[in-house]
Amino acid sequence: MSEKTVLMIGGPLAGKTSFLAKLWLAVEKKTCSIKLRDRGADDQYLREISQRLIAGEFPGRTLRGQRHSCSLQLSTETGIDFNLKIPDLPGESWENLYTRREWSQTFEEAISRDCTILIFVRPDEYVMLLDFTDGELDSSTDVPSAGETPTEVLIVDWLQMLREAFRRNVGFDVRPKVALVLSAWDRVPASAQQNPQQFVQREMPMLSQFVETNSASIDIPVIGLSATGGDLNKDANFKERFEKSPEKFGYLYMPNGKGGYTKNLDITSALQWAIS
Amino acid sequence: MTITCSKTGCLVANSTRCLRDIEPPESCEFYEDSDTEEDEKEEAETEETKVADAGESYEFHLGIELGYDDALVITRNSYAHVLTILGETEVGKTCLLTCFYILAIRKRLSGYLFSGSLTLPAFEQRARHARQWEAGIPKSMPSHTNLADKRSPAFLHLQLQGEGDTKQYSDVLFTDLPGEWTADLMDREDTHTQFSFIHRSDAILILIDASKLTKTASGNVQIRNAEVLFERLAKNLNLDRTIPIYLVLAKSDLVAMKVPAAVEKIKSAAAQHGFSLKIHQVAAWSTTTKTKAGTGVEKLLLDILSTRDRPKLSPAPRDLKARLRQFLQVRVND
Repeated sequence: MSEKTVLMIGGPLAGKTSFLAKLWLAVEKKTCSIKLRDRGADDQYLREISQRLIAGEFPGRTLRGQRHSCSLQLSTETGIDFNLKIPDLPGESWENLYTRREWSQTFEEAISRDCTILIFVRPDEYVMLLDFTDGELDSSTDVPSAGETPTEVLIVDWLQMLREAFRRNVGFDVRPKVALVLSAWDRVPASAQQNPQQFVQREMPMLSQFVETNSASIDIPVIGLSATGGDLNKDANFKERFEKSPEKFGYLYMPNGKGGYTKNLDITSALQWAIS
Repeated sequence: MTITCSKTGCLVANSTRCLRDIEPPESCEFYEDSDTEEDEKEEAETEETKVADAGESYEFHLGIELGYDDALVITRNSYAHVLTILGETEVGKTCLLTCFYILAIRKRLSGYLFSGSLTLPAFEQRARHARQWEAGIPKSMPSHTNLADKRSPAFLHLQLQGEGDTKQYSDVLFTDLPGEWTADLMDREDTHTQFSFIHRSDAILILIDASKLTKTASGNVQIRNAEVLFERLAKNLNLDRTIPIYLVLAKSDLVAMKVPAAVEKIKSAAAQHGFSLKIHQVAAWSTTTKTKAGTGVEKLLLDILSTRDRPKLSPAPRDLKARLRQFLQVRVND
């Protein structure tokens, strides 16, 4: 039996914990293609965050100082058994990687041929990259404060460091799988939801160029994810419907291999890709 | 850490200057420092939020300016363009570098795509100055280069990929030198070791403030400085005359993007030593509405990158330190 590791990376409130809560809910309620073989002894954290989701609340962020390593024993539709380890860390930890330039042995050892990375970013809340050469900026322009690193810069930096870690631990012949997960995808206008990659091309030129020019050394698909399928905080009608059967909500836009995207109501299809 | 002083009227906590002028202030009998509960909490939070634990840590590339050793890693793998940027303090060298970076990452370099950088945090640190607009748009981008090792040059790195059929990657190493280096080159005869790397250049950019060339007095100073600089490059450094030299007229927004007449005298001074100058006008930053920030910068970089005739150099002298010799000899083996 193989052991797979999925690392979830992203800044604070990027959607990592919501994804994990929804994943657990789907697996427990058996509304997905991945089956739970054994719930294991350390499912308390998963139960806590999924209970918040059932109650119609976003699970919230992983607080500073907290770290959770979830280990799930799962099997695919076709009967392949695998163990999944998903460390969940607060977003600040990943932001700090940009300045600290080091990580622990735990993460270093997680990097193997059986490791897949999911990088989470909110398309409605990210630090924009100021371009003072575009001629349309003036003193009223809403610019990031001096302490904020633009999200695109952070992600490209993470991707470069991840490639470095893979080369160090596995070698140069491996092509790491690193999905860019655009979370809270329901916040994007419906007309733009059909193609998450186009969103990145239009809104994040630095990241988009990096993805295009490094496709030979890193496999970087762009995925649109809505863990809840709507806004539990601002849309009271949606929240009411969600509370009746939370396991039925949520969706993904996954690349279909033909240059387009397919909407998938099974949120674990991201994991199917990760372990394939 | 919290600093306090029990001496009435002493503001050492705010100014770091002791009222009694005692240096260092820590040695004053009234000086006290302590870790507050707040400090301890902050420290604990910082520890908690790192992607590390008590075990061994694994490091990544530092993201700061590259030294010779780091640059060698790049030049060993593939041919890298080395661009040496010279110019006096506050002429806009760092601003130009930042502009190169912004154009690349914003997909504004025709024919090229951004493919990565080993010095992203270093570029971002410079670009950050352009984002501090709380009090309105600044007249210039306030930044001054400080080298970690004052005797060795620092390089910033960009990797680009051509959009043509070959999709060829180009690594570009830009020097980021303080203006004092250019002043030293003109003022002192013994800088040839410090500037050894210059022989590896694919292009040398000499920045001159265009607005200073339009006034007689300051123009004369600029012309004289250029004459001395070309003499040093020719006689002290014995620079290969086939390395392209770009005279970059910085801050050209202040002269309405017109080439000042004094440029002809600078060209003549260069020609006397066998150098042929390519003239480019740029406004990496602009304070006028008539000229867009970044004007001329793309054209300059594309011109440099399109230069195909790479001069071959002689092997580096044996007496140079090994890493520097290796850095210079990459081109010979190219």
